[in-house]
Amino acid sequence: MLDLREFIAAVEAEQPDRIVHVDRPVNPAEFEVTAILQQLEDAGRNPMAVFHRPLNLFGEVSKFPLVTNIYAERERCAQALGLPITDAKFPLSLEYGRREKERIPPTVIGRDEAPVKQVVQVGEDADLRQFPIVRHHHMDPAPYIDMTPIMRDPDSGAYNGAYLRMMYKGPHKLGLHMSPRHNWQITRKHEERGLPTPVAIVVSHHPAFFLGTLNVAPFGDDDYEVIGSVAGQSLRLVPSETWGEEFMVPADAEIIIEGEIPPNVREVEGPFGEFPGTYGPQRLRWIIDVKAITHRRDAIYQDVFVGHADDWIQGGLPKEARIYNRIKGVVPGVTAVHLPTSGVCRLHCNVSIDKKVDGESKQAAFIVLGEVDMIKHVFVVDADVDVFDDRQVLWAVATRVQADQAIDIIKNAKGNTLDPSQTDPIMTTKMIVDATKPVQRPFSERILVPDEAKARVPIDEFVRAGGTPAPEPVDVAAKAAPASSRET
Amino acid sequence: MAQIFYVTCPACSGRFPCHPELWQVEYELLCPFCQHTFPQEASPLIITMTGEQRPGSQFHRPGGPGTANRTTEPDPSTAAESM
Repeated sequence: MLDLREFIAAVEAEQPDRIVHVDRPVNPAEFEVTAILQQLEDAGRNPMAVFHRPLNLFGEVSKFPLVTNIYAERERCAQALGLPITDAKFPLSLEYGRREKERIPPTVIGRDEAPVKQVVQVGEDADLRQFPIVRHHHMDPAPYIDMTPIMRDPDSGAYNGAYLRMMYKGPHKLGLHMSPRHNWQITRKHEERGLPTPVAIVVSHHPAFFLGTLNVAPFGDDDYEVIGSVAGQSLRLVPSETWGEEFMVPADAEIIIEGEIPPNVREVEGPFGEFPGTYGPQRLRWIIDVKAITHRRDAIYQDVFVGHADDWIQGGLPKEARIYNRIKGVVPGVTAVHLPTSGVCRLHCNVSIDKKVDGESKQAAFIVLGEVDMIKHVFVVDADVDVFDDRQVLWAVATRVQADQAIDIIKNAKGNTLDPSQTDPIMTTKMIVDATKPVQRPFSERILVPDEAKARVPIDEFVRAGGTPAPEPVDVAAKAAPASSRET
Repeated sequence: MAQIFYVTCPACSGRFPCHPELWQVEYELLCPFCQHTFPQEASPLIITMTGEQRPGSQFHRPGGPGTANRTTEPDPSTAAESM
């Protein structure tokens, strides 16, 4: 059974320096949660944060503690999927890619067994103000729930989940932003039939659930099956309050908000601080009328620190294995792929290859750009460069790139409208930086200190920190002299 | 974002970005700083998508302000999910 509190306890046990607790009351609606996260980030830290006494929208200490920044380090993502934290770099990406291809059907359980049904609120009792909803950045017009609405395709019956931003508009109302992808398709189908679109917002759950919703399965695949596979176990489901068995919801969630999107209704929504670290503009968007709220008795409220590592790492992780597997078929020497946080895990891609033939680096880059249209700049490096280390990638650019030979500019390619640098609504300019050494001629070797020397003098045994006492000096002469010479 | 226009709130003078789909439509805009709602022509300064700066009243809008509900077709340029 997936349980968020078990995950929090596991992080506390295995990575105690990567979790912080805030015991004093803070007001999430007045930026006080993100203010603490930002200060930690400015200090170079990205711990998971548990706020034990956040205020709700009534201004009272909420009965729901708040957890956020769960995904801001890959080690916690690895832990969420049951992997050792030492696998947090590329092995995590490969494992995600492997699981994403599988399917595990969900398991239906009864209401009495479902933790999310411990408290049920309908009608006027289903009041959003009970939650410590976070207002993230200064130009957000209201607090936003930035977790995962689930919708169901009216034709195939397949469920789809995706992170979407939802603006608090009133005790029983949310604004909803969607881009033309799967949930938008489902809503469009309902609207064409004059029907409201049922939606169940999973506000909090074990992080494996949310990592599973980030899959890139085609429209029509059931996300509950994919989520189960990514999580490594069958997802438990229970009938919803509003639609019964016609719409199943995750039984082990902490909090679920059920609502409907009325057809052909739009209201202004935004601006909102988005993934690039800039604001998406105010728009005309859908609304959700809240019908019911169900939650665990001791439920925990969850939030994503959007526009920061908590948001970025989730977005990049599912793409890395997919890109790697595509490159592998054409450039067998590919060793790793990484979408770095320095490129918001979407706009930049680092690829390392064990190059055998000049030109392979371009082939790899073309595949990256064709596979994920959001990626704008590709940096291809040799296998001796760690693609997870920006300094090493930039070192390769500094020492292995001549701009007139190694950089290609590709105009009028499909981009992402949220990229603030774009001057066209659709099109962007892509760049390939080939920071690999040539194969066909000699090139200066990279310096290195021999591994066997490092093994002889491990720093744990040889290095003493400043301010610590020196060990007792050894009388080397006394130890070396024969016994007779020491008699007096 | 490729194309946005900036609107200044008549109540608090805060400036915020709007999508072109909000250009000269019947919806009132919402100031994210003070929550004031206002029609576009009430803005003391609008910076258009091309950088032109004028008071909102100088941009003609047929039909006048209102809060009519209507369907909008999705902007095909918003092709990518944020995740």
